[in-house]
Amino acid sequence: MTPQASRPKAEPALPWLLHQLVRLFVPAADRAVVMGDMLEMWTRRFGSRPRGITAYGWLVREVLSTAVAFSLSRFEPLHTRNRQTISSDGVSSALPGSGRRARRSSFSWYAALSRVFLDLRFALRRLTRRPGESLLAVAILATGLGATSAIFSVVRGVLLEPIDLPESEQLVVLWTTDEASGVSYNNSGPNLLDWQQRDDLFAGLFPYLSETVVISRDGKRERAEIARIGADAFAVVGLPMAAGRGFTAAEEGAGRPPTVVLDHAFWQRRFGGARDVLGTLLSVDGEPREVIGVAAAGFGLPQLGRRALYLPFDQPLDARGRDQVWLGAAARLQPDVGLERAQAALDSLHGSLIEAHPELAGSRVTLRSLHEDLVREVRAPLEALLAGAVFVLLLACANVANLLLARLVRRRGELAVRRALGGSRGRIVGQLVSENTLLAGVAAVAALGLVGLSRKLLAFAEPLGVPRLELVRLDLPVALFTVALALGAVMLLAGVPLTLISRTGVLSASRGADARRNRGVLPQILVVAQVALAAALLFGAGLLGRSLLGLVTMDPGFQPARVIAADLQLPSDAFADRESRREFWARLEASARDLPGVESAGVTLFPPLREMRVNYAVRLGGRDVPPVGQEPAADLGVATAGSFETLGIPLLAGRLFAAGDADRPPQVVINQAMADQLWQDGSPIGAQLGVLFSRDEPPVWHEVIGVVGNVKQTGLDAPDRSFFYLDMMQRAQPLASLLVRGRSTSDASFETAIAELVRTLDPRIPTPQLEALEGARQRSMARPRFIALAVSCLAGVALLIAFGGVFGVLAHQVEDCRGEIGIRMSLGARRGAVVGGLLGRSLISIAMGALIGLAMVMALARQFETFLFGVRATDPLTLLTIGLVLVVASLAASALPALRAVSVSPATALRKE
Amino acid sequence: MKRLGDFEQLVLFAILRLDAQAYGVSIRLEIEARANRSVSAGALYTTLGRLERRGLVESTIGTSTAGRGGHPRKYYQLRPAGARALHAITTQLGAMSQGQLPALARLAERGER
Repeated sequence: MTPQASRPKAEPALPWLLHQLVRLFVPAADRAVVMGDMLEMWTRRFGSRPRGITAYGWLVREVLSTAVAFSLSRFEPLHTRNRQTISSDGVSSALPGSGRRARRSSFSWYAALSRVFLDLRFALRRLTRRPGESLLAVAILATGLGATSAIFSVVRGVLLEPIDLPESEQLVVLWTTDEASGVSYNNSGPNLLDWQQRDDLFAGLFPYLSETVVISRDGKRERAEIARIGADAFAVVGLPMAAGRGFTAAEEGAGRPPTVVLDHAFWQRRFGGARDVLGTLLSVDGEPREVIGVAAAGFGLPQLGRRALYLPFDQPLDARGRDQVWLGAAARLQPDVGLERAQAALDSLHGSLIEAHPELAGSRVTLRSLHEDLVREVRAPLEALLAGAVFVLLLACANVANLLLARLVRRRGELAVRRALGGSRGRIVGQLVSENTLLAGVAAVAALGLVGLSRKLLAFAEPLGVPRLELVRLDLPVALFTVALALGAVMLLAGVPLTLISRTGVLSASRGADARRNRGVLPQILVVAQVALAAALLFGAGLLGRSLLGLVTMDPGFQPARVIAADLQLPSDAFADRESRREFWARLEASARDLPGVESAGVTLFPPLREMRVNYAVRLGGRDVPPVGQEPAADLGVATAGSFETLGIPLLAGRLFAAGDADRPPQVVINQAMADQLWQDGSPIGAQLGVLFSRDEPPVWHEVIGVVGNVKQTGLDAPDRSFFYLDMMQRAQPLASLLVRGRSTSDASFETAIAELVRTLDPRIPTPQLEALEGARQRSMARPRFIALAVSCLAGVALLIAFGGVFGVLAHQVEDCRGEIGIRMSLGARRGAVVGGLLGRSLISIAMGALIGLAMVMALARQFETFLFGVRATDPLTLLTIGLVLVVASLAASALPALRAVSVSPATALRKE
Repeated sequence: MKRLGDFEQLVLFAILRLDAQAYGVSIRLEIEARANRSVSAGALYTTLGRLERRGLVESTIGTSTAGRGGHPRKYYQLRPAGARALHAITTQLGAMSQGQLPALARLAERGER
């Protein structure tokens, strides 16, 4: 506007700070003139080169005086809208500068904008007049906004962000699902081969299987998590190879040249990204394999996790029967095929397969997108948390609405005056809305700060099994979400002035009894809403808390304290025959028991709480063979007698495995659940149990020699399943865990001793991975604990806000009724009666709120019960306790203002009237 | 016809006296010099704004001027309504004060003692 650039050097100028002050307070249209006047006056007074305190002091006073003048005349500033009509027509043409003229041509816009700006500035002054109240409102709103945005940022990263693979929405995984339990398992080879034929549905489909192997190169051995994948995998995932080539069909099957593809990260870590690794040999489980390629960075399936190597399948997929589910399956849908159509086609295919192969009865095929498969377990909890946060936000809005309402009633005098002076209703509402906007805006900024802080808390959520946390960011979409929420809050809060303005009552400058009536039922409704929302959250938190308590106090069926599990993998080249493995496991158990500080030791296939399951169909000796598909099934374990002792699993009947059993006919120990399921009448001891390891072979018969207690094998919240243990000394698996129970609670030397022991026994075995079972138990409870904690936090905040809301409204009511109370007291009313009356009034709103909250929980009971363990959503004890807590807390909030009301002397109270 | 405050009268007279050269600084200096009272910038702007809103004066923005940071001046002129209002109040005051100044001075001096 002012030709600053062409200004001669001698021209005076305002110091920066004063310049900014003028800019802040003087409307743009007058700014140049005012600055010019100021500088001219200054020069006249103090010469062309003003110096000294007096000169600058004068200037400061000048600026301040101007600022005050312009702030006071804010509503009708110098550049009045109607000046155009008043002043002569020659004015516009006399104005220099095209910018000024341009602004004039869009004058209405400018006027509207500047009015909004002025409204906001006025709002700022109104809000800072009562800083405590405004800060409270901002804090409450920011809490609601912050909680919602923080959880949204997690939801966005985990649930909404697509998988980082080309056209990942077309990538799917397939599971064979048990129809009765809904549990998903891997797939059988023959089924998978049938699916591969359906190129009308799939552009490619490949099997995968994760394994643990021992890699050796240059004399260094290490355990590595690897995957076998079908040759199609590279094409299906759709990333170009980083080096070399992927597998071809020629590499699949037995007797083919052994090859291996390196994972990108492993290549970088182990080979420094050297290209000459191609064509060299890498020993995998003792077998030299040629490195033919390096997968692209980011290759893989989230379901598989990070793998070091990829191997082709070296046995035909149909080597095992249709009911043997051991293969993962992933596919890329044809571009024009949607998930539903593919699912329908697979359903009908599976239907015809069941007709041809009755052992498939009771199963179905489930197709899920890669992303959905990954996040489906955390989807419900996260959505529930988001819903909880929205509850808190609504609650915060209701609370702040009440604060604003009270403020509005206090300001009815001012509003009435403005109305009487000709302020239009729209103008006044606009002014009030701009106050809300300012509040919500400040709250939104504070909320973003809270979101930033909450990212630090995510570190705690890391071990909770929530996938993809690395994708959670505070970025533009999250900020936009927060701003949108804040706008929504403004809309909700705008309802308060609108409701009031629409009733002319509040605009009359009436006092006393009238004012009381004007406040109406709105505050009560808002209190009921607050209590209801807080109640719903509290009920939820209470139920989750009880559920968590159930998990914490639940007997997992074993004693995890002081037990360490060491996972071992025997290299297949060094331990090719069963006899060598049996001899090793026996020696390992015996020497571990002799370690100093060790109480007991044992060897088992799967330590508890590992979420690993192998399930086989079984037959009972001397009973009719049930039709295929209806046979009972049970989970397999392989253990030594020492492992039961080490884990503290009680023997309930019969005996455990004993030395010398190895050469006897196969024996089995079953758990209580299996005995209850299959031998309801009579003892299972001595009975024959046939295990169908393969459909194509007759069952392997075992004698039941003992019954032990149930163990939570797959998770604390899992039901007790039928489980049978085979003798480790008979089976002698290459993969197992050594369990060691120490004498004292914490002994770190223990862990090195175990590693050392394994090394002395056989240096070819890679260093084992150790885990304390207590840690596994804690981890198993981590997710329910996280959910319970998060909801409790939300509920706590909700209770606090609602408490404040109840307090505030009653305090205002008491303020209004002071005169009435004074009269009643002076007429001899007892204090107790007055306090009781006030409390009773507040109790009605509280009880109504609690009941509505209860109804909300009941309505959501079914969804909610998926988070609960061992307690129903309608658990009367919990609901009653929480209800009582709520009512007592709310009454406590009401008691303070009620007591204050009667403590004032009647004369004082009446004088106020 | 709305009333004019005393400061408003001073401002209007200053604009009248300065003829085409009435702008913020000159009005202020004119009042300070003739009426011997100091004028704060805030009061002057408030009053000028009010007078303009009431249609008593009008303004034009001048070109950029040296000696004031290159900022333009805003020149004020009396509008007929302003002239009428000032005329009315001055005639009334003049009629009422005619010949009374010595008496006023005497009374004022006595009050000082």
